[in-house]
Amino acid sequence: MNRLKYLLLIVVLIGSKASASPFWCGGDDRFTDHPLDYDKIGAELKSSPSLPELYQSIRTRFLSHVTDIDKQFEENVLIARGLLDDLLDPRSPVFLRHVPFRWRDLKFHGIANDCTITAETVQAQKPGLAAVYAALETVNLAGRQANLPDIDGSVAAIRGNWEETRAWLLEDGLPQWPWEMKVNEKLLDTDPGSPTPRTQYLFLRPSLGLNLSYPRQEDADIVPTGALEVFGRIWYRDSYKKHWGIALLTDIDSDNGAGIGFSFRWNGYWAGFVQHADDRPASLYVGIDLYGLFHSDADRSALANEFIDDLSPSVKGLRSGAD
Amino acid sequence: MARNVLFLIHGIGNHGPGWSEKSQQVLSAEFERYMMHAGKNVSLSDSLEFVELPYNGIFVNIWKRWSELSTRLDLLDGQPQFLEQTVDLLGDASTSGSQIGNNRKVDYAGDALLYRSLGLVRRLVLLQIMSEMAGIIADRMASDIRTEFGVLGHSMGTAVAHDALHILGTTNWTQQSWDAGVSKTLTESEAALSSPSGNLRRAEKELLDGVEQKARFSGLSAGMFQFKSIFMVANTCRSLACESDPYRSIVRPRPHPGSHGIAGFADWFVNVSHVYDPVAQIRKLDTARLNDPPGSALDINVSHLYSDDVHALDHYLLNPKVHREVFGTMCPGSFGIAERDYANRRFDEQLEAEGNPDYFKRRGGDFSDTAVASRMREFTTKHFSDLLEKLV
Repeated sequence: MNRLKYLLLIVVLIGSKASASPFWCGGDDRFTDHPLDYDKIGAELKSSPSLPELYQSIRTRFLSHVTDIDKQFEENVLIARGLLDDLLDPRSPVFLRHVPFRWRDLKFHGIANDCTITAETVQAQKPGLAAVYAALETVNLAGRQANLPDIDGSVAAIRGNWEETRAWLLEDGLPQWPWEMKVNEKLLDTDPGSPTPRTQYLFLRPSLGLNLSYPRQEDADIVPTGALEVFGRIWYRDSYKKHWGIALLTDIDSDNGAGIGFSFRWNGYWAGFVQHADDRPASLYVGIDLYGLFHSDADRSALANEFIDDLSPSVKGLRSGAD
Repeated sequence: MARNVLFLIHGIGNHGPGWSEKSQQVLSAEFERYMMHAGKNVSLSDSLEFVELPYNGIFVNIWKRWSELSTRLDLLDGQPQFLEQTVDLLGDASTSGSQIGNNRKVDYAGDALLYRSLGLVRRLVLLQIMSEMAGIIADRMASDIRTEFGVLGHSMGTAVAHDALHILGTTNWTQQSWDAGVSKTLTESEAALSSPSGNLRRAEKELLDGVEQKARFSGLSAGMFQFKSIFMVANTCRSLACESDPYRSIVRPRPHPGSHGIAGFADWFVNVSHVYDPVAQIRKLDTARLNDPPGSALDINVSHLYSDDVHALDHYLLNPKVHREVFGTMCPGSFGIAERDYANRRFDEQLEAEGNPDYFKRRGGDFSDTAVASRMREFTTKHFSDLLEKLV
């Protein structure tokens, strides 16, 4: 009877030692070759010449533990074995070798099937299942490691796309009114996963400029004009700072009334020809930014205002009338 | 155990760096409570890293661009009044630096309106979120391959998270490797066709499968990469998400291997709603439709009242029903079965009888007065949201 007590005591001591030192933490000789020896896996991931060889190593280690696994887990053993066989089959699609596998792939017998389950839980509650769990987890880690270069490639692609889109819409590209954004969204491929467009449509784009008419020398005049680019398109060149484009233009001023014509854009500056009436020659429309090009050392808007104020009585009339 | 990462995506409004500090404090304090109870000396920061993913700067910049455009038309007084007033109404970005300025009329509508109605603005938002998220994923995985990732979206941030995750997981970002993969598949299939024993039908099938699978599987696609969990707090996906129908997107739990269901992007999908939060109740997501395999899509409804702002993220996270899922999925090494049981007991009021100070009262803070809580119930959301639902 006493011998039986001692025997029981020894069993309890061994059991407590095993549970006090989880196998995945290392330091327990019983588990140095365990499928879930993370230190070993980490070293293998770094040193393994190829993923198939690493999978082969995981498979060999797993099969050496299969004999320890309880029969009730046979279904899980088959899952893990099938997975490892698939991974090592050269006919398997390449992508399959990276697919993440999780504990959910397994059938748990009596363990609460919720999110708190860990390797520790499995080891504590169903030690016989731990090797199966471990095999899938190591495959998962190996697959993740092998997927890293692809992830890096994806990161570079997403970042490049983001930087281009930011340059287009927030920094260097021609600013768009909300309705222009909507038109571009419809006409261009602006899906977030697609490359950033190198072109842009103009639609009902209001602007201010100067209309230079020169029918005869004595009738030459320059008047401020509100214009609308009805529809047009620009193309970006090397970067979103440089573009050129054309648009259908309409304008209206106090002297000549409404007109229609074409405008040309080049790197933020634009000019166009507008026909106001059949009996008058076409006038030159100059965007205010093009005017400012020649006064780039000063505030263009302020200069333009001064210029307009000094121009002609008709201009002053327009301004005071508006007030 | 690796230090996992939880991405935080904010809702409507201005959110500078550190916007989630209060929520993080709530989580840290609650986590500490469980660790103390279990006799563990672990802090939340040991096992979980929070990464804020801001996007409201995009809206600020868009308003600023429009403001500049309208300013250019200001040379002739009186002409562009309509445009100016429109921009002023939507947000005077140039003076206040805020996307909605001080204009209360559109205080809560401007961002959502922009995001929902303009695909180019959405593109900016999503690419910024995806760019930062993917960069962190690559960096942390390179440091420790075991690192797991989770996403927590709040309010409008749920729609942003939904769209960003769907695009991230369904786009083939590495076109170059795709081309190489397709070429390889083609070569192999040609070889199979030309061999004497080659089975034509099988080879054709493999060819098609190979092309299709390769197109769907790039480094961060749902087949190659998985998030640990996705939390949608005060979910607005059904109202604001644009890139895919929430019931058909990959923002859902991963189905069983071999299942023919829609690919999922996470192990766990957790949808959290407050019964008195109108935002969470309008066009509420039916989580049951994502629940494959059963038990992996959780629908959590809370009703606690600790603050007048029941919509606030930190207020949601106070509830053990909510934070137990965050801890359980993102810190499984520390927050195990015992801690989960304790969280359940805290909420189930079993601790009340024991006189335990840890008992989670459903009412507290500013709403300890039950009369106030009762009045609030009368005004809340059920009728209001039903009405809005009909209008939508």
